Amino acid sequence: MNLLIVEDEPELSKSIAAYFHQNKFTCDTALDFSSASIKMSECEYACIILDISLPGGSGLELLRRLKRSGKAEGVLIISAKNSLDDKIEGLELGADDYLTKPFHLAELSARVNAIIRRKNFNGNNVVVLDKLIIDIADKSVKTDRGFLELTRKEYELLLYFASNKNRVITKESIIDHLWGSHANMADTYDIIYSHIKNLRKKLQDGGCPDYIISVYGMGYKFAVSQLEN
Amino acid sequence: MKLISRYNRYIIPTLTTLFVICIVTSYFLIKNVLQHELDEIILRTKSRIEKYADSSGRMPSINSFSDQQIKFEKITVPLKDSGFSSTTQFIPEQNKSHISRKLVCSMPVKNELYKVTITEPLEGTRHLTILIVKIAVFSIFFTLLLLLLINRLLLSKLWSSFYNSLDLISHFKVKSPDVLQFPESSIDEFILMNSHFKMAAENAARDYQNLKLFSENASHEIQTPLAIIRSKLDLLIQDEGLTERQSDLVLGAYSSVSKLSRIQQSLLLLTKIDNRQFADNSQINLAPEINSKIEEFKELWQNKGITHSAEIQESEIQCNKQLMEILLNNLLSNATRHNIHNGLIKIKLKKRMLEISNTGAEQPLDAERLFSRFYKGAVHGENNGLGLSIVKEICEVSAINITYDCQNKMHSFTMNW
Repeated sequence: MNLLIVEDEPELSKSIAAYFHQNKFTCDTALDFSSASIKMSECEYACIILDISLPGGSGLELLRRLKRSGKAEGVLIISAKNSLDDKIEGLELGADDYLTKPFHLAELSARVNAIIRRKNFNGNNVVVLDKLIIDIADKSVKTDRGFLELTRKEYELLLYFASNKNRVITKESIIDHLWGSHANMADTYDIIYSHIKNLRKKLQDGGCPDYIISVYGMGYKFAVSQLEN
Repeated sequence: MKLISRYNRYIIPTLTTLFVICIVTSYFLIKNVLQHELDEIILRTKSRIEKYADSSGRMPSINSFSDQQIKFEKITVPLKDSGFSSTTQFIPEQNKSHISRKLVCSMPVKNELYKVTITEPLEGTRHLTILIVKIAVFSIFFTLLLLLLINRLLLSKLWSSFYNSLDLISHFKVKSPDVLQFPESSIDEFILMNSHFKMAAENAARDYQNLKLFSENASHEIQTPLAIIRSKLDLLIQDEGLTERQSDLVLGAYSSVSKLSRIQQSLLLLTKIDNRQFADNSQINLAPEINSKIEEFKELWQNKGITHSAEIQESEIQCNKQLMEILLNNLLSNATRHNIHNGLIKIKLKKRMLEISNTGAEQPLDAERLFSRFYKGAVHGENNGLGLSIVKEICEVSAINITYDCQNKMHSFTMNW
């Protein structure tokens, strides 16, 4: 699957590309308005990551052009401006999601994956992750031994892992993902730990290997065979 | 002390003293003039007596019905102490003594020497003195009264534009976008003052705007580098070859970046609230909002062994929905973060009142500095000290009054609107 990263800051653009590249994405990058405009009209992408403030024009204008030309690509806006107006305008113009800088790459990956899933399967989609079958529409998880009884948080956690498989995910990014940035406090680390513990146990009870590896001090990694998609 | 009172304080004693001096001086001057007149009368009488004695060779017989008294006495040696003196004279008709002028002189008639004594009462001066005192007292009284009235009425009218300007400048806020409109004045000093006030206010407002713009821009500019640092660290931790020591270093950097980005987001939020970027208010029914927040926090509380009690009645508030959510979040996070193990959180919602209290440290917080930016209590290094200033700022823009109180280790924040 190919992505277009429209971001004027080359270092950030490189990081995003590197992260998605590890997740088997092909990434195209555009550093300014005109090159983005050309790439958007010439190629088809699974998803476009779009920065609003660009040299040569506004990302919102690119979005407007894209929608006018009738393209159905998913668009994720990333912006330094955490302004509600920008967010509303972006979403009204047809963007699928909005993320404020600075973000965790894992979060970006989760959002992009969610957009792609929605676009590709029209809401009725299933993610297969080694022995796990996650039904996004039903929010249910199945193994060959049957359905897993997961709490809402455990399900979200699993889906977050699924979007970032074989990547180290920091505890901070998990907290931000599950509770939003406001609940960021030392106490939450314990809760993460207990959620992970419960999820791990439920997965193993369902006949799965121990997917969740804790990475010293930093966070967790959901390790599945690289051959799986 | 008011300027007018200070002015009166100087002017009234000065004027009174001046009046008293004038009265005393005029009294003596008038008395002198009268005395001089009297002395002349006495001298004229004396010269008549002399003339009579010269022509007739004897003293005249005294037959006076006036108060002037003349006495002759034969003496042998000429008088040494001749001249005018003041004395008292008894007037039988009035049955009282009067201050009088007396002339004593020796007068030779033929071969004999006489002592002549002429006394004349100073009756008129007494009435005159009383009159002068009366006039003086009345004039002092009326002048002062008039002065006070003039001060009160005229001066306060004159100074009114001054007080208006003062009032205006005292209500001036750098945050407010309105330009100060000082009252027109025809007095040069006030015109000058108003123009200086206006200039100072405009400078302050402009500086404030610049500062605000600067902090907003700075916050935005920081975001991109922060995003880059975080993304690089996100990539770095994917490296499986990291040693434990390297992991530690990366971890330290990572958590600091997280902290930095939270501070930056909080500052940006403060700036936005300041800029009134959350203007769209709506009527919010608080009860469901709070109940859903309690649901959100329940997990955290269970984990920390915190029990909560909620006393929730229907209550509505006119506020921005986003800000209200931030407000509740911050207050509840605070109540959680600063709580003790197996502590308690109490939430009480009534009509136009919300109270959130929690168990915590024994020492009450510094109520003065509690809401100021980057205030940190004694223990926690985790928080950035901006949560409560955001709360305060939200309360300010939403016309909510918030107070802090601590009793029996229960720290409570009460909001009224």
